[in-house]
Amino acid sequence: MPDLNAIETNKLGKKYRLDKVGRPDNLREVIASFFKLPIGATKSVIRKNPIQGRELWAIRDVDLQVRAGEVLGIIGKNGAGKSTLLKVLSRVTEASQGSAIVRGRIASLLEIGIGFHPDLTGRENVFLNAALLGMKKAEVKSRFDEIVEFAGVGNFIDTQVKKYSSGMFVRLAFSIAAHLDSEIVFIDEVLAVGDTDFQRKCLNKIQSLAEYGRTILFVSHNLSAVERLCGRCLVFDHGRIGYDGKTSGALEYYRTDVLERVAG
Amino acid sequence: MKKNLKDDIIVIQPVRIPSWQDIREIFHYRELGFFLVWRDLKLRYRQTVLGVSWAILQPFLQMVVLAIFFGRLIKVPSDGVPYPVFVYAGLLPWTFFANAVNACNYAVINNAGLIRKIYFPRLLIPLSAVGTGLVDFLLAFLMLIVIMLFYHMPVTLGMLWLIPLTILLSLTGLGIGALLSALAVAYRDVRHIVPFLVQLWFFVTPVIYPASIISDRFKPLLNLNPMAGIVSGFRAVVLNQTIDFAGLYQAGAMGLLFCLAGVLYFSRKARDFADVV
Repeated sequence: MPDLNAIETNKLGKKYRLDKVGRPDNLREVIASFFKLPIGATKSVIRKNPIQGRELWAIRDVDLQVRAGEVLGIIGKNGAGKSTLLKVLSRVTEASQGSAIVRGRIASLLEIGIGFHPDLTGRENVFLNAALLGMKKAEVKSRFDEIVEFAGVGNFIDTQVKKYSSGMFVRLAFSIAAHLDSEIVFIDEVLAVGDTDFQRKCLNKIQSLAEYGRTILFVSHNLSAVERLCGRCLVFDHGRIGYDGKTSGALEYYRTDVLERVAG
Repeated sequence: MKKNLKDDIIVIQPVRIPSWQDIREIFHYRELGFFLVWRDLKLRYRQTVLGVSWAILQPFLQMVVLAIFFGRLIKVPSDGVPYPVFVYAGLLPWTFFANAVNACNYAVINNAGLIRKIYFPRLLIPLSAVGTGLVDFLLAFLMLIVIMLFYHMPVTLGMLWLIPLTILLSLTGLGIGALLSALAVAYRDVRHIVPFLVQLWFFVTPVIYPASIISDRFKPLLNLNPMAGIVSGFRAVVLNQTIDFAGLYQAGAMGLLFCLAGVLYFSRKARDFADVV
């Protein structure tokens, strides 16, 4: 399907409620409200929020088309909505507004090693983690040696991961996601960890994934990595797309418009 | 958020109704379900000194204590069978149920890290919690056979009735476990109430006493508790007694109702677990 977009969004938005005024989050308050209010009013306390809580649109009106095989960089300040976009697209959290179409399986490297259990061995974690990414056991088996090789954990594969160094931990986690047959890969700031050697290896791996035609969404604060990997780049600013185009233009926009404005 | 698995196309939309797609998706992710069960068993048995035998020892020791206090000292009637067999046959389905409900409650909290970061059908959490309990249940069932042989009770083909009963038992545990665990996310104090609730439930279920000591006037009330009919039915099958089918049908209806309500409520609430858990 080369002519189809891998990802299409239409006015996609995600809203968070900042405070929960009048919305009890424990049973004690629900029961207490029975005694404080006339019976009829109780229902409205539980059901509806009489005082409007403050809302925050983490992302809003996001219209985006990503072609299959494209490597898209996403930059922006902390809290600009980069990670929220990936969370909504990978269905971790629900959209509040708009819609999106995703064609293909997503392997997401949002915060690496999240599915790892410290008491399980590296080998056990590889299979568990791959299953969490929606992969079949047979698929993992055929790739297992490759995964271990790339991670460079060698003999430690049958050791509990709590005994791993943080570098080994990250390498194994990255390796699993990078070696699975998903059409779409989300990478969220995973290169912040690991030594420079491994970072370079990861960048090369991401590049080769791109060459194999994977669609990659790459969130990073590492502007030089973005520049190297991505042909196109988005700049997020307060939940909206501030810039969408060539990476060089995006970096320029980010440096002058977003960062300068804060400084000034 | 419909997912057509054939074409791997995902449509993301804010409002959505549960559909057959969700069931197909759970089937698609079944390996993950087995992995979660396997992980929980592995971690639990790796951490205990006694390993797998713990699953058998736990209900066995309970049976010994109950047999001494309720069987010997208080002399609770047991429908003419040795009290240890009587109480073990009741403890077996009860322990499965109680563990399943408690495990669902903790599973959502223990997997909060996964829920916040990774997408998978959320129903797999209570499903795998019940699955883990089912493995323990099957191990403890072997002990039942040993106890029956020890008391020279016949092990008959009629015990095949335990298969549909166990399915009903699993569905009831899943429904109530899912319901309470979703409530525990919405209302934080529910988490601490669940173990207490399960303990109270134990006493209103004929586990350590026979249902026959309850007068017919209160039977309809007793049968509102699906576990009453299931535990009684389970015991009747094991002890080769006549099954109270009227009670069992009521239990079946209530159990399936709880299952449906629990699963639907959980699925509804699970959509924003990532933001609130």
